[in-house]
Amino acid sequence: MNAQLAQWFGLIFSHPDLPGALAIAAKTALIYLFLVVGLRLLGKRELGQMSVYDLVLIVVISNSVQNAMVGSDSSLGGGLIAAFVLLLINRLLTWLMVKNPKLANLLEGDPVLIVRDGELLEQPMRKAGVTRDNVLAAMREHGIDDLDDVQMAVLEPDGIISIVPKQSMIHRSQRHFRGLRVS
Amino acid sequence: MNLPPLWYYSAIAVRAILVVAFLVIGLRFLGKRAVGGMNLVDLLLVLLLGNAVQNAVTNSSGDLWVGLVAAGVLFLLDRWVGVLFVRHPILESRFFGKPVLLAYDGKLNLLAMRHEQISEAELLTAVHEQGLSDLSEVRLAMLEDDGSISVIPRDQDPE
Repeated sequence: MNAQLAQWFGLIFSHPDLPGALAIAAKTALIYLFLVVGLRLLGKRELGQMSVYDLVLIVVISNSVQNAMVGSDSSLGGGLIAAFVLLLINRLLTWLMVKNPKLANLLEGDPVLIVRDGELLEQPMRKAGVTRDNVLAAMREHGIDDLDDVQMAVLEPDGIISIVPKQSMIHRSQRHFRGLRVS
Repeated sequence: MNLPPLWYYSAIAVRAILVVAFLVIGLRFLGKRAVGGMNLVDLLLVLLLGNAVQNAVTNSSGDLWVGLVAAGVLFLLDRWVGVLFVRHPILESRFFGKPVLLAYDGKLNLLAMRHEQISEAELLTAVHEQGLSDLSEVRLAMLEDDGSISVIPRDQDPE
């Protein structure tokens, strides 16, 4: 009975030794960064413009690197170390992106204008894989049924199409109101 | 492993619970709140996280019951925690945080944005999604509990 209890606890509180733990941490960090850079180099950053194939690619890649992250380790501790490193790196990248808008732009992608003054912009739409139906659906979500009422429609990096109706105030001047910021 | 089945599967169940608890707490303190508004970096995180902890739960076992036990336990846990939050809403706000003011009357609350790791670009996206051109048309922008940003426009003055 005692032996089984000990085994039971051993199974739950299993963990790698220090060299193993460090190896997992290092490999996980490297893999995460490698994938971020690699996918960005492939031109994938706007989630909204990802095709089904792109998503499948990312899912398969994530599965493929699983063993590279934790190696032959199958302990609870090992997995938690890998998870912790992933969260840490993600936090670091996010913090860097907030601090450095250029980096954010590099990794996050730009919004794409797809409708201007009631006119569907064929080329950007085709490039982004956005159909007329997608735009109409987004318009209906904003309670607009006529394209002529649309000042601009933008495909945001995260895939949402935002609609700016014509009644909105037009500001052609700078967007940054530095003098009005409060911290 | 020469543990009797009941012992073995209960250990797997405990591992599953511990992993989920770890991830929830980790995401609470280290992750961004936004679930919508994901970018490439966030998507990769979520996918890699799932894979990273697979063996932590299953012990590399290919046993069918290991998978079923793990999945079953997690379903139950999700249900119980959901019920708990319904009965005690205070717990939910204490754990997931309260809404945060990000902008008021066209002005940014930079301190809050830095604290919540929201970039200006993300805020502007939410502003656009409300059908507004830019910050000057915003009365109120709040980061809600679920990570979404809600934007309330200023009343338009008739020109």
